[in-house]
Amino acid sequence: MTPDDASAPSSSLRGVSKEYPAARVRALSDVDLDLSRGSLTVLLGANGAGKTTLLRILAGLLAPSAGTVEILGIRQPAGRRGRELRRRVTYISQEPALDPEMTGGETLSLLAALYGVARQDRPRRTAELADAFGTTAYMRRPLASWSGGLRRRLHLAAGMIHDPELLLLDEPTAGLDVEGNDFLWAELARRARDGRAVAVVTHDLAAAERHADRIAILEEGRLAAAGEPRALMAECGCATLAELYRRATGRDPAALIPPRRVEKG
Amino acid sequence: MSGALDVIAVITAMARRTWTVTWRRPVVLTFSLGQPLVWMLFFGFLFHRFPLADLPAGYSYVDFLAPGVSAMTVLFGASQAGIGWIRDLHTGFLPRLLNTPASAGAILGGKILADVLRLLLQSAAVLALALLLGARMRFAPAALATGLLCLALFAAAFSCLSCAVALRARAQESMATFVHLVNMPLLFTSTALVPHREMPGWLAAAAGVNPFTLAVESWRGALLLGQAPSPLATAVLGLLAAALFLLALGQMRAAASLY
Repeated sequence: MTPDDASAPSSSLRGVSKEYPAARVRALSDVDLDLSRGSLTVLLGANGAGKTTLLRILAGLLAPSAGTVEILGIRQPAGRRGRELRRRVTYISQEPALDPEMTGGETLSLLAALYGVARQDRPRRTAELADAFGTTAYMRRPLASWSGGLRRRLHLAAGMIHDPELLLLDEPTAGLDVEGNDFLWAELARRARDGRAVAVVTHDLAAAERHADRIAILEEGRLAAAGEPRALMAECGCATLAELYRRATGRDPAALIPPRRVEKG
Repeated sequence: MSGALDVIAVITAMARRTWTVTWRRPVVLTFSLGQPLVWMLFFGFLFHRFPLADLPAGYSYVDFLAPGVSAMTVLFGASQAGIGWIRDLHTGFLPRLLNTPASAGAILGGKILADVLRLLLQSAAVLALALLLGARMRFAPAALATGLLCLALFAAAFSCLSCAVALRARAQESMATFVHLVNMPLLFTSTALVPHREMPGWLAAAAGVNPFTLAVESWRGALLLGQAPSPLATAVLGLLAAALFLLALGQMRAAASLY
């Protein structure tokens, strides 16, 4: 990736709406959003604001009810190019999706094989990710014996085994301890610097203020604000992101922060 | 990146995963092996005077029973092959695997390959015990190879059926019902334990169309008489395996959307 490619468009949504007719819910209304290569976007919003729906549409896992979606230059629905997208995108779900009976090493090695990583490259790729997320000492043990926080770290590492160009993470910090948080943001920042596009759903306003190149605030399925945090804050005369959030959504930013639930590890 | 190499890499990785996780549960393996051994002992001692009109003179019931119970091990084991995938559905791991660029066919193929190898090993262990009990077998390599192929195809077919049912039911309890509903009727309407000529007419008719009979007879013919199974029997078992593989594949596509 050359420096010229940085800030080139990665993916875009235009006028995207999503309805779940069975539940009579309109999760997204007329959303325009761009993700750029080399940029880390943080998605903020209360529970039910449509963040996960937005992320799943960006991953190509969900089709919108209306609007156009382009992911890494591929117009959706991707049809036969769906497999190519799966190779280039990662969607990391909120809940760890792992087999407790496998060891950490086995898990990463299996996923590497399924993502088409060459056999001779798998040990290095696995070791690098274990190192980046601080799980090296545990890799030979079955995941059932790992703490919840460590399992979350491995879940994140597993989602990056194929060196994706577009990273979509749904509340990855929930249940991580301070060290795990540091590992995660460092890794995401590094990948953004390397020209990847990153989008993270989080409730952590402080982390968003520290790490986001761009933010997007969702309120009841609509985009209430989107852009560079400093520019947005200057625009509304807000001193903090919390203030900006309050102005944009009319909600108390303190309600955004979930009760502390840090899993050990 | 070459497609064929990718497919082989995925099959190998999935087979290895299935294999290691299975052998990590010695209790399950012990039970699935212990059960046929108990059958072998009880039926062998109960019916050792059973008349065997189907076989040439000089064969005992234990000789007849050994390949039958060895095939039964495959039937019982294969019908449970899908249970692991219910867990993998609930942990979200299977949907995660299905959302990689790897082909679903290769993912399923790798799992089935490991299951079939394990089932063949278990049925070989049953034969080893039967030898200790005095059962006689013939070692005609060519016939044994094709007989083994028939047994493997049956194992693959039933493992696929089990996976399809598991992915559809998505609950351990339903799988327990399926296992009993399918295993016992298939076993008792087959020639695994009872020779064809000793059956009442209706049962003999049922045994004639039971695919498990086909596997049992192919295996027994090879092991006992040194006769290779007919190409027709092999083809029927092959087609059955292919059809049930496609059925399981269809259920997997639905499971991928759960991620």
